[in-house]
Amino acid sequence: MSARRGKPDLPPLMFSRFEKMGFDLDEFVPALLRPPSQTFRINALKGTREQVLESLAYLEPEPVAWNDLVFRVKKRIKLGNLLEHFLGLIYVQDSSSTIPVTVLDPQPGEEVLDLTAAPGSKSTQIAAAMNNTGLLVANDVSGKRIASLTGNLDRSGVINAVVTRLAGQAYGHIAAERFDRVLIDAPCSSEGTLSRSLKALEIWSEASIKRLAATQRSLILSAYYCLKPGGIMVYSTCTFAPEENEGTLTHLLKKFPEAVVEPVRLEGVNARGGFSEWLRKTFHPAVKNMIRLFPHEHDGEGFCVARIHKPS
Amino acid sequence: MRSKDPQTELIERTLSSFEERFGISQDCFSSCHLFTRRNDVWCCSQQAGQVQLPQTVRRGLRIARVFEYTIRPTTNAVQLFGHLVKRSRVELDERQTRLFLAGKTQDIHLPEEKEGECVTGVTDGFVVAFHKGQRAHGFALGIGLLKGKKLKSQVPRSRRVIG
Repeated sequence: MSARRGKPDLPPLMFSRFEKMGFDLDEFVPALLRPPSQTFRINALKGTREQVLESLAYLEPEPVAWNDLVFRVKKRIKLGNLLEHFLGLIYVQDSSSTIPVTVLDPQPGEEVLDLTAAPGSKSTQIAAAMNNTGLLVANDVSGKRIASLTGNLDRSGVINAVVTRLAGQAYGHIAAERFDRVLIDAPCSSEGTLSRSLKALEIWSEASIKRLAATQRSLILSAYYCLKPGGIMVYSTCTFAPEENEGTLTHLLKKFPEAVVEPVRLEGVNARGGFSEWLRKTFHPAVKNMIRLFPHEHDGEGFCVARIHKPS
Repeated sequence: MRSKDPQTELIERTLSSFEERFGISQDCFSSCHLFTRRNDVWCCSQQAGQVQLPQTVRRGLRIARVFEYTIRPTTNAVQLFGHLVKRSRVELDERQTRLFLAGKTQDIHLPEEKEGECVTGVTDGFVVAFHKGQRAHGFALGIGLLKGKKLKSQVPRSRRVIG
């Protein structure tokens, strides 16, 4: 059933977990299932901000506060059918999904790893921030998903990317201390994307959360190994489950006590900090520096983002 | 004197054809790493060209497909480097653009020719189609094959927009 057509039945366990997170369900659940404003990101590799805004002026796009290339559109049209999309001038991307790369802040000439890159929204954003210079390694384990990744890299005009197909866990061994920045947008239970698709409900369970958290723990260690001393890593998910966010970060901080979870401050983003505990489990105090985006407080999908610094 | 290796020769031939046919200066690619793969020419950043990683699927962007008798720039390449194209340009209005994006062949009217020469420099062969309209004006749409007054879109199936 589509969230747009009717109110779906969320699993009772999911309700009870959301309640334990402290949400007012009457406010939170409708917002979770209501599609947020459509958002696009201008791809500066193909055209200037001014050119694209002139072309799309009729849509009256409104800029978000934290990134001057990201715009909300109130009108309900299929942005993916626009000529500007065909030309790669814009990338249709949820506003929350643009935040991890904004926080990562990749620079021209650097070496950057996107450990779980498909379908490529964040890889194309990284390449644009790097102005097509340096090196972007866009990795994914799934051959099927790599096809959509390469298609999006092509449409966006990306020339600084090397696409690899490896289990993310392998990177820590083959590229230790190689990268200036690493993005790990981890596979997750996708609770924050229910307004877009209810597919996540098909596999949602506490067991799948535990399974995904185990995968995330191995991925975040691998990603941290790949960072040069002094490097920056961003860990993000599109789920609310603390096991997959604060739990994963706590695992990293236990293994590497020197790692620093830096505060994330973005103008105009209505976010909360990380939870200090969950189901009688206490997390590392530094995880409060991550941000949590909730759909009833932020016009976008649910997201969690953490910025981690590896000391020199 | 040693002869050039086939890869270097193919790259040089491709860049020459870009310059002759489209007026794209070879200097535009001086900061890129160019290489061939299955007879196609690819372009990537210098650092992307040097890195060696296992299970590499691809690097950079394919800029040209090399056939026995001709070299065809890719749609992705002309969309990226379209602003550098000086020759072999055709402009398409809204209706023509829709047909072009759908991969169709269409009749087009080129600007009138002076006696014995085409004022726009457009002759039969590959041309770069540009959009002429209120939105995305002047952006390169892709590659077309011009024969007489017929323009055949070369937009790959995976990128076509129907409707």
